[in-house]
Parts: sequence; structure tokens; C-alpha cells
Amino acid sequence: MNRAGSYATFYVGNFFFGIPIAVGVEVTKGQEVTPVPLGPKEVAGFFNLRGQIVTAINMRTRLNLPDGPNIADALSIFFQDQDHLFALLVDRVGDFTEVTERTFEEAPSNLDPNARELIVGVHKLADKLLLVLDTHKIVSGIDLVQS
Amino acid sequence: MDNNDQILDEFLLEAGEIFDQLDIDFVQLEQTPEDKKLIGNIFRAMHTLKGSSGFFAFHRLEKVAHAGESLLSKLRDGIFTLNEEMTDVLLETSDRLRAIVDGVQKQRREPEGDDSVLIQNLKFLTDGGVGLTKTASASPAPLDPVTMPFAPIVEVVIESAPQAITDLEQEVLEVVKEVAIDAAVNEAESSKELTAPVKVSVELLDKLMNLVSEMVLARNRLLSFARTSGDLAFNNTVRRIDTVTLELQERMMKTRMQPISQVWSKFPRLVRDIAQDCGKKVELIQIGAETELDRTLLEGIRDPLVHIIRNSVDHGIELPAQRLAIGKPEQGTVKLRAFHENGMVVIEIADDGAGINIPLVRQKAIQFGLVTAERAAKLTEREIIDFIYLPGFSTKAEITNLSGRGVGMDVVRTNIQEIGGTVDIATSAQGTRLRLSIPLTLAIMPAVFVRSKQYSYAIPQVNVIEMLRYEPREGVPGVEDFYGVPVFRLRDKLIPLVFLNYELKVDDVLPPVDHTLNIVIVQAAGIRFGLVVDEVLYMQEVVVKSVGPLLKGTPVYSGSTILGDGRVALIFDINAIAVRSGIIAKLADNQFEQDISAALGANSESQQMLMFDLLGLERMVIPLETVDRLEMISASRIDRRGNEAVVLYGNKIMRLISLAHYVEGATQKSLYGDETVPVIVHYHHGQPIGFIVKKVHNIVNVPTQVVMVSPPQRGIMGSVIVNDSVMSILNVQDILNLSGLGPHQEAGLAVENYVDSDVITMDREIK
Repeated sequence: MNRAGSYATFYVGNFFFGIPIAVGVEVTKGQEVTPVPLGPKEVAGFFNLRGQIVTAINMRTRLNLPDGPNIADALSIFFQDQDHLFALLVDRVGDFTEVTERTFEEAPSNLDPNARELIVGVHKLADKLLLVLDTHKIVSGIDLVQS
Repeated sequence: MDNNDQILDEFLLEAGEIFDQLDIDFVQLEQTPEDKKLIGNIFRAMHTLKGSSGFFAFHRLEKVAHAGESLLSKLRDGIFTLNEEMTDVLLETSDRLRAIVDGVQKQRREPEGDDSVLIQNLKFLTDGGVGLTKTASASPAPLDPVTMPFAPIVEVVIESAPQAITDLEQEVLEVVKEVAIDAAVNEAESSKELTAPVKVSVELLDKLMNLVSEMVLARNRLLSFARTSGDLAFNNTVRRIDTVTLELQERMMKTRMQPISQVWSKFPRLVRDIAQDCGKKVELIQIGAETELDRTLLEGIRDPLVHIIRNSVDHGIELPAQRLAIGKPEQGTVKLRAFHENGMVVIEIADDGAGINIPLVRQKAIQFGLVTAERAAKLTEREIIDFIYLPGFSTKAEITNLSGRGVGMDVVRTNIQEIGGTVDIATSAQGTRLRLSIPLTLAIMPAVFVRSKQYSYAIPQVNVIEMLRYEPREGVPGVEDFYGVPVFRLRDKLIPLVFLNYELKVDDVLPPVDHTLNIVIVQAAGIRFGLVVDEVLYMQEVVVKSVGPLLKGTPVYSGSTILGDGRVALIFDINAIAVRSGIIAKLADNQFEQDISAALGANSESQQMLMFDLLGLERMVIPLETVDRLEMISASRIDRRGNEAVVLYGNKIMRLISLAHYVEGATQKSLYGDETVPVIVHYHHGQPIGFIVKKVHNIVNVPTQVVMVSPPQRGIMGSVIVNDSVMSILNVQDILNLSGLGPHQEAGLAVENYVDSDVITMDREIK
């Protein structure tokens, strides 16, 4: 993954995340999500974006963070993976941020293994840390069979 | 480079179409060898191939096509009449060309290979030779003993003519011929050009289709605005948009439709080849090949149809001598018929063969322990036929050899059901008729909407039998308890009930018995049950959309759809709900199991084992002789005795052993509420012991040769390799030892203490 470039940023809990806009990002808010009983717990449900079915992933659940504000108020960040549209339900959407290779640093070795899988590394911005997420891993790492 | 690639892709596409047409034409030609127009078509097809391959410098392709073309030109000019030998060689030519083109498709260049024998054969026939000796498939025609020795001599005489002149002459002739052919081909093609369709990529069509569905939704919202608005001009515009959208949608749906002949075109060749292989004479009749079906559905019916036709020819139709003996015409027929009926496409495959041997199926069903002899005697013919749909049942070698029909019928039914269709069989000594009813299109299907809590869900209408509402009344029993299974009396028949909210785990408890119930009676794999919902809403045609990759582990949903208000509703897979709720313990939905039993059917060095899953450890097997019964036991029935889990089982107390405790690699989860778990019952010294597993599959034949595990793993005896996959054999003795029931521990004593003394003497049969 190219570390320099533009990132779409968002907040979940106290953390500040970014995904590369190269994966095709778009932001929408206030979607009516249809939940999926028996589905994976990370899947908040489905909604319709201009005639296409979007799978909404609850980022708090995905990141093992405690439940936050009501999902209905959450904002979504879209991207495409394996020909399907996904949306990340997040607390707050930030700006599009341009970064260079210089500020990048690999994830520390003592990072939680679950987080290590999702977080590629970090960009040290002037005022805070931008955690870079791997969108494909967000989707593919979900355990499909819930017991 | 890109440009070349594109041209090559176009060539490959065109070649594919040519081959499909060639297969049909050749088989047709065999029946009407005098048909000059047909020979002309084949000739032109070969010529086109040759021309294109010259362009790409595919030399093998060019040489083979050229040799085929030479023979065909003689046929076209009436110098020869087509005989079976020529057909065989020409078909071989077509196959070879196809193989080369397939190779080109894969490697983007011409594959290596030697075609000299084929070309030699073609030359031999072109030169008027009779009686090939080299092709394995063609049976040498009986030769006239007088002419045979002369044939090579004639050849030699020709060869001895002045070589240079002949060659030159030949070349000139070739050139003249080429020109003539090109002219003929051009003429034939220019006349076609007027109606030539445009090729559009499937992705583009799909995208357009999506946009149209979206437009329909936008129109719906617009309509609701118009209803509340008093502006006449606005309303008129909306009405105009409404009609245009409707027409757009209808036309768009049409682009997805394709004639069924697309799939059927391969069948004449298929029938011919199978018939020849088994020494039968079979004619294939096609009626209604122009019937249109959704493109995606066409793909779905291809394999089932091949399966059915193969069954019909291979097993259904008798040998010619046999047929004559029972007064049937020597040549059997397989009739394909397609037509529209009630918004469905019906495909009938009828043969005039021997039919299904009902008594034999009955006998096998008893033998496999699927039904008791007394019960089997009472079953109707239809119910007996239903057995052939069970996985594993039909794949046994014994049954295919004797009864014929039945190989993989479960696969056929599963595939057809997957696309929302149904299969129906009628059989007699005069033949068998299969009837497949398939929805016109997968993209749009009628569905019944139901409500669970505040969300609506769609049930495909093909699964819905009827809908009813139960009002509690004095003297009319509502939900009754059939030993843990809630049932409902529908016209004096008991129907098992599944409570949707409970099944979806949105409710933790079952509703009280004396309550109004909204029940949708549904059918899955031949079994009816009642789905209790909060409310039955309405019926509507829905546009089906995929749910994406994240619901692969949640089979309860088959798709989703967008509602008029723009929200998403999930569509249920009723079969999966039936399986999940335990209504159907074993469903013919597991392709993987199918493969295994099919592969092992022929193996004599095998033993029968029951396949099951543990949490985290799939494909375990247990020797069938150690399995006495299979049960579904509700967690609420399980009691604790000390640190053991027990359950009242008939008159006995059965100790339950969670296999996950004792088998390495398996994980465990705790049971709660009314959840039911599958239990394998094993009798140990006359006492039932229940092994709790995650899921029970079916009986499989596994090789007797066991691969030992090193280092030894707890609870596992060893592994067997089946179809390149490994199955672990449960070590029953090990499990019993580990759980304190081993031979040295006075087995069963602990259990016996808790059982009435007269029960101990009871026979095992009374369980």
C-alpha cells in the first residue's frame, strides 16, 4: 500500500483513522439501516445507495470498542471491495487529509494483535496520530459464522 | 498490444459460436446427409475459422481446418455422400479445433500438439479412401476383400506422376478455389448483415438494469409527491415519467432474456455421443427452443439438464434389442419441450424408456434404513420417488446399475430450487417425464412480505403454500406440544411450527400458547411447516439483489431487495430456515458431501461411517456400527447430576458427553434456553451414552485404510483420506475411557444405579 497520498479521515471513540481515498470513498449520513438477525455481529445491516445494496459495518464492534452513540446517527464512509459496496459506520467524519511518506511509521510491535491486523501504520500529524486502516482487512477479517 | 488482444478476444468469441453451431449441424447432417445447404454452412464455418487463424498465424488451427474444409468441399460438390466414418472424423476435427481454441484462450497463444494422424485421416477420406484403421473411436467399416489390396496401389500410381506439375497444378487450383470460396462466403454473409445484432457487454447491461431499478424507485417517490400536490402541470409530467419508466423497465428486462436454444444447442451432440457409447439408438426432439429465459437462469439449468438427459439416454432408454422385444420402436426418443405457463417457464424432458423401477427404489430405501418395511408398503408411488432426491441414496453403485435413473437427482433438484424452480417426475413402463418449472427471471420474483418486529422480510412465493390466522377460541386447540416440537392442526394434519422471531433470535422466548397467530405455511424440500410471523403484510414483485460477501455464513437469507420507500428488506431462504430450525435434519444442499459419496460408491475397500462436525473441527467421522441412534435434544431437557449432564431418554437416563471436551482441536460453547443439539447415541453395555456434536451430516463410505496421526491426538483414532480431503475418525473407546466409562472402570455401573432395576433387563430395542 502506498503510504503517501490522500486519506479520508474519521473518528471512532477517541481514535482518528484514515483510509486511502484510492479505494473509492464517499461520505453520506443518516441512512436507514436494515439489521440482519443472525448475521455477523460486525454487520450493522444493509442500506440502499442509489439502487445498490451497501453492507454497513459497525466500526465500534469491528474495533472491539465499547458501544457508542446510536447507530442511526452514525456517519458512513463508503468504499468498494470485491465488487461490493461497504460502508463504515463511524462517530464523526474528518477532512480529507494529504500526507507524505515522511510522517509514516509502522505499527508498534506491542500493538494488540486484533488491531495489528487492521492497522497498517500511523501518520504523525502535527496535532494527532492518524491510524491508517486496511479496508480489505476490515471486510475480509470478519468471522462469517457466528456461533 | 491491447488492440491485438481485443481482436483475439473477438476471434475467440466468434470461434465459440461457430463450434456450437458446428455441433448441431454435424448431428443434423448425419440424419440428412443430402442437405447441401447444411454442408454449405459447415463448410463456410470451417473456412471462416481457417481465414481467422491465418491472420493470427495459428498454424495448427489453419492446417486442421484446411484439411477438414477439403473433405467438406468434396461433400458439398456431391462427390461423396456423408457416411458415419466421415462424421466421426469431422466431429473429431471439430473437437480438435475447439481444443486448440480453448488452448489459445488459456495461454493466449496456440498450444503445442500433433495433428498429423487426424490430418492424414482427413486426407485419406478426401482422396476417396474407405476404412480408416487409426481412429480409435470410429469402428472400421467392413471392407470389400477385393478392393482393399488395390487401394494403396492406386495411391502409388498417382504419386508417381510428375511431382512438380501436380504440385503446381494443385496450388493453382487451390488459389482459384479460395477466391471462389471467399466470394461465396461474402455473399452469404452480406445477406445476413441486415439483421446482425450488436454485441453489448453483459456488465453494461447489468449497470443499465441497476440504473433502471433506481429510476423506478425515484419514480415511486415522485408519485407520492404528486398525490399530495395540486399542481396540474407537475402531475402530468409525473404521469408521463411514470409511463416512460414502466416501459423502460419492461424493455430492459427483455435484454436479459435469451432463447433456451442457447443451452439446448449442445444436446444433439451430447445425446449422439452417449447413445453411441452405450450402443443405443436415440433421437432427440426439441420443441420450443425459442422460448426465452433470463440469462442467469440459463446458466443455472444447463448442468441439471445435462444430468437429466444423460440419465435418460444412459439408464432410461433400453438397448435396441430389448426395445424390439417389448414392442417399442428400435430407436428411443428423448423429447425436450419448453413453454411458458403461468408466468413460469416449463421445461419437460420425456423419454420413452423403461421408467423408474419403483419396487427397487422401495427396497433400497428399506435397505438403507430410511423407512421401515411396513411403512414403505403404505407409501404412495410419489413418496417412493421422493427417495431418489436424497443425497447419497442415488449415488450407490448398486442402485444405478439396476434401476438406472437417480444419479445425482438431488443435485438436479438442489440446482433447480436454487433458482426458485421445482422438479416433478412422472414415470411408467412407457417412459419417464421430468418437468422443471422455472421462474422467467431471477431478477424479479413474486414474494410475500411479512413483519418481524418493526422490519419487513420477503418470503419467495414459490415456497408459500397458504397463509392463515389463528384466533384462540374455546375448544379449538392452537399450538400443541408434540414432545418439544410446537405443532398446529391444519385440517386435521399436524404441521410443525417455527417461530420466526425466536428463530432469528430477536425474541428470547416463545409467545404464549393462547395467542393470535399469523402463520405462513411454507414448503421446503417437500416438507411443510408453519412459519409464525408478527404480521403478513402484502404480496409484491421484488427485484432481487445480492447481499454481498459478509452473509456467506448466514444462509438464512438468499438475497435482498429495495422497498418502495428506499429501505432494504432481506429475502429468506426457506430451506435454510427449515434446516436451521431442525425441521429438516438433512437436506440435499451439500454438494461437498455429494462428491464424497459419489467418489466412494465404487470403492469396495470401504466401510460406512457417519460424518459430523464439532465446533471448530469439521468432517469428523464415527464408525456406523457404534452409532445406534441420532437425536435432537433440547437444552432445556438436560439435567445435571453431579458434574455430569444427563437427559431422560425413554425409560433410561442417558449420560451426555460433550465431545469437544475430549477431542483435540474442537472448541465448545455452552447451551442455553430451548436450543436443540444433535446427539449421537451410542450404547455402551446396554446403557445409552449421548455424544453432543455440532451438526450431523450423512453416511459416507470411507476407505478401510487408516492413516495414523503422529503425534497421536486425543480422541482421534486416525485419519482417512477421501477425495483429497482428510477426515478424522473419532476414537470412541478413547472418549469412553476419558469420560470414566472405560472397560476397567466397571462400565455403566454408575449409570445403572440411577435406573430402575427392571429397566436394566429390558431389551435394547425398546429405546
